[in-house]
Amino acid sequence: MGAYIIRRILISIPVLLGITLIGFVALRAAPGDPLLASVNQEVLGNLLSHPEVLEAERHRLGFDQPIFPNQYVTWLGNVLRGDLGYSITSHRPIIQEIGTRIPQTLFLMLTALSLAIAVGIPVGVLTAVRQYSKMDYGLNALAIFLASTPVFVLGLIAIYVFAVNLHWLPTSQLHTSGRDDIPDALVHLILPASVLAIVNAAPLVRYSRASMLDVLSSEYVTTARSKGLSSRVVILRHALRNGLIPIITLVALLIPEAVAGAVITEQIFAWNGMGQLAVKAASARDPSLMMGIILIVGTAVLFANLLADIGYAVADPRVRYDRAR
Amino acid sequence: MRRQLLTLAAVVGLIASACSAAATPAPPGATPAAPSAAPSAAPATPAAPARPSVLRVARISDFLPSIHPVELGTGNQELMADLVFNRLVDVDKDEVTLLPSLAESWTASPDATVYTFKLFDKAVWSDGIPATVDDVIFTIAWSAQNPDAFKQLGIGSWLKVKGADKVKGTTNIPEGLKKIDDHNIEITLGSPDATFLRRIAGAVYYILPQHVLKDLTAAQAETCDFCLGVAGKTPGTGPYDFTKSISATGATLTAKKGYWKGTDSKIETIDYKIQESSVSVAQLAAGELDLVIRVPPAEGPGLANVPGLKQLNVPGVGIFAIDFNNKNTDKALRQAIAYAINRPEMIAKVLGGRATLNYTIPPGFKVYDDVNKYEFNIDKAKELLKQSKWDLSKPFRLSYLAEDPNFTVTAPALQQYMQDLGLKVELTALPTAPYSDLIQKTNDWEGALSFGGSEGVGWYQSQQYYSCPGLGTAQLKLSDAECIYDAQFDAASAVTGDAQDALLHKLALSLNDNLPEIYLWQPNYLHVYSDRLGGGFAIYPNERESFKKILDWTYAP
Repeated sequence: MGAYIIRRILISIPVLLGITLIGFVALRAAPGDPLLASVNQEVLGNLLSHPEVLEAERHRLGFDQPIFPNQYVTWLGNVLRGDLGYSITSHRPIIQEIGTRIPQTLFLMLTALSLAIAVGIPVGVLTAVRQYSKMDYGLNALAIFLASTPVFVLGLIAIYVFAVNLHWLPTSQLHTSGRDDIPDALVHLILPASVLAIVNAAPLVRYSRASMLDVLSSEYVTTARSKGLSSRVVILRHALRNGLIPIITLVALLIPEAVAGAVITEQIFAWNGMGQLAVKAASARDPSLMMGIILIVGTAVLFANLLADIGYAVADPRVRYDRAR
Repeated sequence: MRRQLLTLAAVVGLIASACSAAATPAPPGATPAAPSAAPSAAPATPAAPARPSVLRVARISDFLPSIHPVELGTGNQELMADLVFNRLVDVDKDEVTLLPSLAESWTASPDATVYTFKLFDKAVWSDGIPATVDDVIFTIAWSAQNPDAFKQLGIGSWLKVKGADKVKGTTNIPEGLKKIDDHNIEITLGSPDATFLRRIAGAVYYILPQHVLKDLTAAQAETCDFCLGVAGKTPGTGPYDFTKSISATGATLTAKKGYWKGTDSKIETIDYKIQESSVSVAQLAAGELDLVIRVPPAEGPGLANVPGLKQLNVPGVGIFAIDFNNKNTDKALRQAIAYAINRPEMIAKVLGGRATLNYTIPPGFKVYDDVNKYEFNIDKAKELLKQSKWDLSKPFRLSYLAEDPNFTVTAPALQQYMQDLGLKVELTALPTAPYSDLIQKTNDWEGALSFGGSEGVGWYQSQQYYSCPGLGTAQLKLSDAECIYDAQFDAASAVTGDAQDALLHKLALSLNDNLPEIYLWQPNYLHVYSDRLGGGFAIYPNERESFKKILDWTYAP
């Protein structure tokens, strides 16, 4: 297993380089001048009337160099030294921009995903075990309804009901004005985390149910039952473990989201996380900031894939990864 | 399992701590923000302390998270700068009357060339260093030495100081700056300008602390701690200090105790939020905000029934206009389009009446009797179109920013009017970067929708759009060969009274006839505020200047 993990990590390095290279070239080659985009439209002329200033700025930022290899190699060298550069719109180091957002995103997303997993998988298993019961029909209908409802609709309904009408919870953001304590943050977390958890739990219910039904109809489960094992033992010890394998893939795919943030949810709840940062970087054509985000999210995707592979091995001992064996 | 749950709880707790820490970096030397809630137990005194007043503010518009004048380009920055710094003079809510700011008095020579200022003796920076004429000289000299560093709003009035053009790239002081003593200065302009005092009341003209920035280079002006509004590192002479650094989501400002002007602000803390309009509207409805400037007018009816909120629906100082690519259009075509657009109908049916009709001259100008009002006349429009050189087989390409709701609502209606005229109108909606590229670098467009500005404050506010070289002189407005308006604005600035009025009249008629752009209407702005705001609370017509008299405001927590 150890050698397998090391081999996977080594394979991930060129993949990550490929991701950053494609991202870098695409961003630099995209239409639109990032320098002009960083200037207020109303006063653009002040800059445009001095093209020499614009050129000097372009030179200072290295935008006048060939994209590959010059600009990319320079960027990569800086990254290896821990320098992701500066945002051309906020003029702050990218590390600082991302560093202040990741904790908020992790706080929201890990809570929401944990809730989604804690609710979605057991409910999926339960509906599979009680197939065609009233509970199965009811929970399935609810899961389909929630899975097909856009997150912004749920978010706005939640804000309207619980914040605007009932005044039970705050509408948005991480903190109340003038407060920065953890209890206050937890209160602010309830609405966005619940909405995200619901949205993510719904497909987990559907996948878990389908996977469990598949496993429950397999021959080895029938054999286990015919041996006289109790339903509880058959489901928990024999069926659930195999039934979880496809769910691991689904959960692994959700992990990068924990880093990348939920764009729409963060927007609705004014949650100052990575999702909002990515939107701002894209709309402002801030190439260094976008590359920083690509690097972090790309790493998260590769890490999640690695976790998924390890998860398969843990869930199913038949899976053999190590060539030496 | 129990251990796993504990581990999960610990991870969530750690991230929550990190979030709290990230949200409020503890700045060295910063005034600690007052707690918002009364302590749960008050052992020494039976009565709980009064809640500190935290004014929660949002202005729905763009923002650049910087405070140095080189990057000061949005109204949100201007409002913050007005709280932390002082200009030499300020302006009252009538946008005309000048008020003391760092200078307690001033004089102007009859020819509007020599200005003297007497600074308040007691003026000090947040760190206790006296604010003197040296700071004024430093501010003006640095601007003249580094004029190209200003990427957003220009500081044209500082560049009018005599000799300013000769110190660019040096460390010399313009000859027009004369220190009389620590608190008195004489400023001589290179040419007369009767609007000088009003112009330097703008936020971008705030006085900088020499003792903090004396070694600052132009490149450093974008990234230094002071420049980014880092709490504890941004001393000002204004009534507030940043106690939570500027970020993309706003800043927190706390009132100084023992402010040198003799009166402390009655509002202890201002939580200034930069956020989406939908978030602000929801927070208003839930009682989480006290003042929102520029609420989308369509939200007005929905917020009207929220207890404790008041509304102010007023004409803004900005303008909605069609800018023309003058290389692709001629005067007859522009006039034809002006006649073809039924502006009263647009305002009534598309904008729900929430705009004020404009007569195609900049809104800061007087509406002279002989100004052509271009009242809707489709026959005359078609006649003019025939006289123009426009090839009717070509599409008229009308461009606008895709993400701006001001355009997405109006562009199709404008397209319809222009098609009724006989033009083939092609709408091009683009995001910011490609839009800028299209307008500034190509000739592949005929018209562009524009919105905003502050032309309504005064006629002089329009000069920046006609400066030569200036805003897109190659395409927007008039081409280089016809660069005729800048000098006329300068000439009007140099005189006062009837002489000025005569020049402005001529300028207005020229703009009205040539139509480098069609000024269509001034959109109304909706401001919503809590009834707990009182005292001298007022929103200026140019709402970007509304904090200039914050010391007079009161707020009942």
